[in-house]
Amino acid sequence: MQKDKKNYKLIVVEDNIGDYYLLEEFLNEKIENPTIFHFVRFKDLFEFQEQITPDIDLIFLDLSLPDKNGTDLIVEVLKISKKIPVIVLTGYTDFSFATKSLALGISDYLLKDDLSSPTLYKSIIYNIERNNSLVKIQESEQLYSDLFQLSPLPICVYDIETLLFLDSNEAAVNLYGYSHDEFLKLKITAIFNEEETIEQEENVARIMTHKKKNGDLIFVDIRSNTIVFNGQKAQIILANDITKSLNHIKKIEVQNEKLKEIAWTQSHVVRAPLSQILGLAQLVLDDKNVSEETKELIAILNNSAQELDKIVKEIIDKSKEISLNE
Amino acid sequence: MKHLLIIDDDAVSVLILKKMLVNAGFLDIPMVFQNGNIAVEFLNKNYNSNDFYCIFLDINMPIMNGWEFLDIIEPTINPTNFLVYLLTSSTSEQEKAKAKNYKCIKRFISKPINKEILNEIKEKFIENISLKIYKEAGNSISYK
Repeated sequence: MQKDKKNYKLIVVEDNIGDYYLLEEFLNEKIENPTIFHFVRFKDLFEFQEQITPDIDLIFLDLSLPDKNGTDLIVEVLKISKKIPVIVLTGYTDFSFATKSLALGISDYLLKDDLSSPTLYKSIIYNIERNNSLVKIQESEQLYSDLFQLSPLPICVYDIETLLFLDSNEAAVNLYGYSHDEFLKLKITAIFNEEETIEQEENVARIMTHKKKNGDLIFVDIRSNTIVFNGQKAQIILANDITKSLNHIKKIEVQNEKLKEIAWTQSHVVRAPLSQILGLAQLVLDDKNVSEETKELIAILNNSAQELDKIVKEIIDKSKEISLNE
Repeated sequence: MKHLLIIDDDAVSVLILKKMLVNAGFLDIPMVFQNGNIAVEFLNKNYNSNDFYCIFLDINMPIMNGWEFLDIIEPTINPTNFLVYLLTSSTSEQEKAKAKNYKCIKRFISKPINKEILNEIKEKFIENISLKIYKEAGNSISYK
């Protein structure tokens, strides 16, 4: 029969030497040259913990060791096992306890009296594979949690029925000033400015006025969607703070108003005395009683005034572009 | 009867216009009103739909500006012999466009008004009067 040639690294914590040899024999039947670290007492395992690395495949644990046993032993081992699957070895007397120990976080239990090389080997393969899948699921959950928690955009989830917040990410905490725990005690309406209401439509995108914990009002671009969160119908909202850009636009609008005022001044106020100069110059030039010498001077005055008039008209033309850009 | 009216609060503008009217050969002495309101009061008392009116109207005036004056007066007058020349220091296109909404406005003129335009206005004024006389004469002839 072919032996499994993979280089297994196994930890066995067992004080009964007979049981240990039996286990070792069963292992050697199916696996070629397994690396086995054998410990008799919990204390030995505890001192070895620095060397418990992810390349170790499994920990076999006898439930009654000279220095520790039962629940206490399982809890302590799980603390230093670093997600490596733990298989409990037990006799018939501890059978009911062994089932309970699954709830504590161990991967499997084997009855010593039923032990054979095929059942042992099957348990090893099964628990290593299952643990790999578990680690992958945990990593995937962590990834999604990170996507939510570390998103640079503030995101909140609230219950559609009670309106209470169910979750908020770091960016939301930073934006609104409420801690995560404070959020969970609030309703979505607590961050609304008075006149805002809840929209129940799907995929709503709108600009709202929100209120921070310190009372400051902010403008936010809101995107929302309905999701199922821990089995509850909830709304996820993404709040993009656009206060700065809106204020910037408002400032520009105020400046535009001022520019229009300047244009109006040019068009009406500055041009009024200028048109008088032009009119008076024309009258003098048309007067037959005025000497040629005076007329020459007035003609120059007239030219200067007309140049000025041209400049004023250019300013008015440019100011029209301000209104057009609106 | 024909009437020459200047509605303008600016004394220098009025002085220039008066002199230019004389130079252009207008024989009538213009009546001057400081704002639209005084002109409305005058017209309410003295308007005669058979008379001829030539009005130089400024836009920016205190109390009642040129537009407000037109809004009040236009429904009450006969636009064929009530010729309004809008005379303003503004060169705004917006105001030029607004002037098109009033039937009695014959022209939008940026100050200062020049001799050529004044001559055209004079001719139109005279032509308008002649036409009216001719029509009346024609009517009276056919009537008989």
